[in-house]
Amino acid sequence: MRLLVIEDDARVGAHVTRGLRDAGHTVDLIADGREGLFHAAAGGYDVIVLDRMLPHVDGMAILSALRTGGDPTPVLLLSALGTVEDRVAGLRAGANDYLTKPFALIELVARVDALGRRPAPASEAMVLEVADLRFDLRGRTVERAGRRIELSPREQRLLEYMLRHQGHVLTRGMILEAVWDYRFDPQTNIVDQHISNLRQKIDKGFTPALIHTVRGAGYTLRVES
Amino acid sequence: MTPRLATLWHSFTFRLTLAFMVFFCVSVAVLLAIGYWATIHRPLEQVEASIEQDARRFAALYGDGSDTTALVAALRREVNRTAGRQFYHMLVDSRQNVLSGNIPVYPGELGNGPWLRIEFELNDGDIDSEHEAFLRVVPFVDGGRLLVGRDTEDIDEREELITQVLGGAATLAAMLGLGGGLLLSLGVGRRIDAINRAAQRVLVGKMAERVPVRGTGDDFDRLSMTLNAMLDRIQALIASISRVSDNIAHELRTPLTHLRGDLELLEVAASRTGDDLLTTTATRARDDADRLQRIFDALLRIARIEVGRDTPVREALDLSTLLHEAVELYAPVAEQRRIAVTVAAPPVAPMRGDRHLLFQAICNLLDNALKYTPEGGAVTVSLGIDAGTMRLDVRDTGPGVPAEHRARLGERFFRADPASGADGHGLGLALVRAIARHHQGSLEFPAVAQGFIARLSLPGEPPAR
Repeated sequence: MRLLVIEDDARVGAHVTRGLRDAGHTVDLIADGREGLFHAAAGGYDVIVLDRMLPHVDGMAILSALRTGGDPTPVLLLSALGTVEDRVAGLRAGANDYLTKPFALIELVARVDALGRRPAPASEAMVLEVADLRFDLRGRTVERAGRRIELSPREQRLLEYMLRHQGHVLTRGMILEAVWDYRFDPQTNIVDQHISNLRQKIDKGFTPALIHTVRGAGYTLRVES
Repeated sequence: MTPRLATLWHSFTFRLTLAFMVFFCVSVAVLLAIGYWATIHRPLEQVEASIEQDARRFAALYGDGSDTTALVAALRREVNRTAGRQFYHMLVDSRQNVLSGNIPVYPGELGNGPWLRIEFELNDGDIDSEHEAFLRVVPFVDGGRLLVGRDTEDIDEREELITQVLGGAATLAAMLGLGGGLLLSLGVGRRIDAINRAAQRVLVGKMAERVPVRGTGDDFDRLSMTLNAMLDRIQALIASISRVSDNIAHELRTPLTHLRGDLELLEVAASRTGDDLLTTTATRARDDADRLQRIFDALLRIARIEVGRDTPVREALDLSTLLHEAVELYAPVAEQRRIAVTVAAPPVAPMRGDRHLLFQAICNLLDNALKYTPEGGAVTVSLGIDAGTMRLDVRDTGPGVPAEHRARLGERFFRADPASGADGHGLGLALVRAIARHHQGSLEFPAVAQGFIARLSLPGEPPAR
């Protein structure tokens, strides 16, 4: 993917750029707000990573300018402000995701990935599939190799989210936000437990394994080649 | 007593007025007593002395009772004297025949005491006039008796007047006092109430509230202005503290971001060298940076919630749903540790609040309970609604917390048992407490014989009108 990073802090910018390039993306790094807006408006980017506080122009102003101009490019807002209302303000201004500094590089890369390959809105598909796993969304039934698997409603939501983002690295934070819809800080690694339960049901006794742990990052659902 | 009356009784101003009323009544009584003594008791004493003289004088004329002509003549003479008080008498011989007299008393009615006060009516032409006589009874050896006395109608009238005034004045004073007390306590009470209400609003975090000032410059205004000045000062201090913490947050976040980024790089580079010591050290350092950030975030969050900087979100929500979702979220942890979690909650528990913060609070309580309950134990979560207050109890069968430590639970960085090995930074309950206060609720740890209870109380949705 072609990415634009607008970040005035040189070290953070270099770090982010390096991480995204390692993940196989093409990255343009701009340190100045006005120049950043100029580049962003020119278009051609799959995702824009935007620092909230920039010299000359506020990151939020750039975001508003983009959205007012009708530019739909997904934007991930980076901010040193971690409060709930900052986050809400950012999302309301048109950001697609929000990450508080300091962040784990792998979390940023995973989120950028998810933003760049968003599933078609309101995916029409009534059945989600991977390998021999089938999730019938209409009947809310899950089968693997023709065998019916009973899942709790929450496990179904978790599986649906992973199926819709198959192949992507999903961090614990992303999973919590998408499946539980609460913004909070679990003191225990609670997501791991739920993934492990889901794994027991859909992977145990079947090959190939579908849910994989990505060390230091999170999980992904895919058929390993 | 109805609640209203009870409130009135407990109000300081009302009691003060009651006290003044009693004081006032006593003063009136003392004044009247002095008046009684001066206008009734003393004149009566003088009359008594002069009657005593008369009695002695006339008794001497009685002799052995065989000839009373001189006595009767002397008595008649005295009756006809016009100066001074009207003279009354009655002379009865040994056979109880009235020999002379000018009072309508039957000898049989006479008592045995030496002094008599009688009231009677005299018909003088066509006017009936009331009279009172103060009489000395002098008994003679032969069974005859002499009564001499004076008219005391004027004194009697005064006495009646004073008795009436005493009764009336006391009643009036009591009524005035009560009425005045009510008015005073209403008036003063209203001012005190206004101050109290403003203080309570400040207490629940509305730091911008001020005590109303009337502008009359009276004592209450001066008190209100002092309180307001104090609130201004406190608010300024809080603002400066939160400014400092915001600055610290911002200044620390940048180096922390750099540090974390570099450590991450180091970690990746180390893992490529295949050097285990280098890799684990780098990972540990990165973990520590993460931990630092979490503590730091939690602290800032508590501070912001406490100061009320996070604009309070007041969306309608169902606490019961939140509770079930939190329990469900933690179910795998409970299962793994073989802890039975039971939930008792009404189907719906509507309230207004911030669902993310409340969910966080419930999760922290659950997390704590699961952490400190030994394997095979039980955690009970119950939600009750009592008089508009939601009471959420998270009870566990863990070792509990001794009373001396319970009081400090919820303080930042306080850990009841640092050696327990359970991880955490001692901010979990502090965050719950901040969230509870943010919602005008409270977090308490009631004493229990066994285990531990964390009780979160939150105001429920007021009933729809």
